[in-house]
Amino acid sequence: MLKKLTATLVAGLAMLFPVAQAEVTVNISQGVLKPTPIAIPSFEASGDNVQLAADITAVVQNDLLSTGLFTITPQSAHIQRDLSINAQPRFADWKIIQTDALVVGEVDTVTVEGVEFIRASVRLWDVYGEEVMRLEGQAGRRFTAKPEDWRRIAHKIADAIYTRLTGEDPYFDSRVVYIAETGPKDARVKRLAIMDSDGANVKYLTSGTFTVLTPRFSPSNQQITYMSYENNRPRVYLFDIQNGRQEVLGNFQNMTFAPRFSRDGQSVLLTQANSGNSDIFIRDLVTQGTRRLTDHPAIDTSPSMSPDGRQIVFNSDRGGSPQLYIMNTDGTPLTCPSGGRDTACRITFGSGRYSTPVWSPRGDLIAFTKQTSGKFHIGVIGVDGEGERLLTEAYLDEGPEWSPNGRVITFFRETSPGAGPKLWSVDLTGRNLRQIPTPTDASDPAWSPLLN
Amino acid sequence: MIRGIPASLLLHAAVIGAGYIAWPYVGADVLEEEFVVVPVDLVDLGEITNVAPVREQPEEVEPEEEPEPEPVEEEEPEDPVEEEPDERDIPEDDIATSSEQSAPEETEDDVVPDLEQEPEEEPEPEPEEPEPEKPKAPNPTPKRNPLDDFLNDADSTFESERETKRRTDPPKQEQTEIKDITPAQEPRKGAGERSANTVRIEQMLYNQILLCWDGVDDQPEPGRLNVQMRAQLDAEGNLIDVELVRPTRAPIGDRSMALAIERALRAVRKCQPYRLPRDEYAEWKIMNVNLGSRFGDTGQ
Repeated sequence: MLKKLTATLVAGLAMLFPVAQAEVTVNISQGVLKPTPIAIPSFEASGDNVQLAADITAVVQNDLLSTGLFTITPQSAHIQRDLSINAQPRFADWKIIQTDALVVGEVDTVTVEGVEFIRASVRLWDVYGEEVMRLEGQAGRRFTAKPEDWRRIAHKIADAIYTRLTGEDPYFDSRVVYIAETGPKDARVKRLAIMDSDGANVKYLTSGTFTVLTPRFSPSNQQITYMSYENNRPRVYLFDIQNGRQEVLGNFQNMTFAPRFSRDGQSVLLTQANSGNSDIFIRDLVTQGTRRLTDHPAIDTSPSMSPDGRQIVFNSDRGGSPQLYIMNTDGTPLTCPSGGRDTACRITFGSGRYSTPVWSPRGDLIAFTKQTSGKFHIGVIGVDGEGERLLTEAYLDEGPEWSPNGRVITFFRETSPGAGPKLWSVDLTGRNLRQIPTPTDASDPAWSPLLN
Repeated sequence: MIRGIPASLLLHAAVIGAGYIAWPYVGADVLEEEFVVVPVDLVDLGEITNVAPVREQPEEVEPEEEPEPEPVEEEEPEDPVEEEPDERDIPEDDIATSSEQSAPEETEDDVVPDLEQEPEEEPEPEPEEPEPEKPKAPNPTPKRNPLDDFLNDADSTFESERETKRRTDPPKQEQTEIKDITPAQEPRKGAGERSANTVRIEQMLYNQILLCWDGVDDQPEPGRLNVQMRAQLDAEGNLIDVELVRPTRAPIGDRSMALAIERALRAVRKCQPYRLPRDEYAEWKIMNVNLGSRFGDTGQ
């Protein structure tokens, strides 16, 4: 009994005071953020699906590469060729070529009730951890769609991988609506166009008979609001994507412009001009009621709502030059970041002219256009007016719009007078500036929410 | 005279102006020529010099390498007992062979002690050998000339007198001088414990892991994403095991923390094998790796 007690005491003491052993401790406070090397071999397929599998693989690669956050290991460097989605890869072969993650996919076709579908399965492997990386809680993902929607399957796969490796919300499976421009400057044709987020599948929504501007997606993905000069009368319209119907928004006597949906999609913010003055209104799409949000002799325009719907940011020259202001949607006073309480608080104080503010889907930043020293910039600033950063600089950069996850900003740029506008995108950090390919000149891009 | 003053002023102004313009460029070419780009691999040194131990080899090496000359003796005619003359002749080879043979052994451990030990071994036998050899060498030649013989005899008498004086006089000062010299030639203990490498293990690990860790700056609230790990390594620098210390696992629903843990583990795994001095394996067998803004950088 005594021996047992002694042994227990000794064991307890040993647990409390482990034998001193030499150890080395390394502290690193900041890493080196660099693109993650990822290998995406061609998805496995058979028969007619081989080409389809190669196409899906290419879209996945391009999506991930476009973020600037990944480098794709060239397929010529791959050592293991006999990959199977149902077998564990030989991790040593992938470590040699310094790949962090490995995507293994398979494409086949299935027939359900006489209708043929394509089916793509994918697994993501952690090469150094030597284990499968769970995608949305699953050891793998399988997507099924009609053959014509094969690109959406590819975008979905890319989204799953992107989200798993970066922690960001997805955005590849989304669309961009923009103004397609053709013809000479004095007879410019401007049409409403829509395309996939990577520039593929361009479709024109309007004929070009009337000039259209500033399209914006609704959160439901089914509607687009924009400004049209139909019958030489600039007014805000609604476009239904499913049936192609267009209708004027409200029966405003005066010019209306700069529309944007509220976060719940139930209302549209817009600007109405009256005798040289312009103010911001909100139009309820259900009740058809309109409410004035600003009432000031200065020009107030370009409203954008915060994600929680409680505030808006807008552009006003009430301070002497175009600057950005925030206000409560219900018009009640708020405590301004610069001190005091007011119904509208100015958040930009830098030199130059600020315009086209857009509240980030994340809620913490506002993107804007800034004109200063003969140059245009796309920038971001905190909602408290702190931390202004200019991300781009060009002869003309204008019209920023956030990607659905708030990570990327798209805008249009003219590199020189008469060069014609093109669509561009830039990462929130200011890196990875790249042009989005479009068949024609393009301006006023707007990102849709993520597709269902 | 009236013309001379403006001319002088102009001349001085021209000289000063030329000097003002040319002076900044004087020697600039030389500096550019001397400027050579040298690729440098920066390694931080420890605060305390702590090099590998200096072994007292002069005494230890000789007996170890005595067996080598023995086969040489065996080839020659029988000299079984008279080891004293052999030791005087052989050490010249011994020193050479010992320095050649011992060098690679020591370089494996550490380069620094070799540089200290080699010059220490050589001077010890050299001053001993020339002393007996020098009187032997001049002896055969001077016997032919009587004048030389006379002078040599005189020298020898003077020397014998000096030797007798040395023997009779108390040799305290000379002995103390010799004692002072010999320790200086023997390996002296420098600063530090001499039990480890001068470059800190932490710094070597830091430099390697830093390149493998992507960080968490792209995540919201990166300041809270701190990961502590404990890893066990084998002597080759490969990872035997790595475990999370804090947090012990990814909190459910915290995507950023899960990602931070994943990146931290990947960094430790990706960096192996770690290039570290094997003779100090005991020191880095277990390593704690802390990644995150909460932790100050190692050695900085």
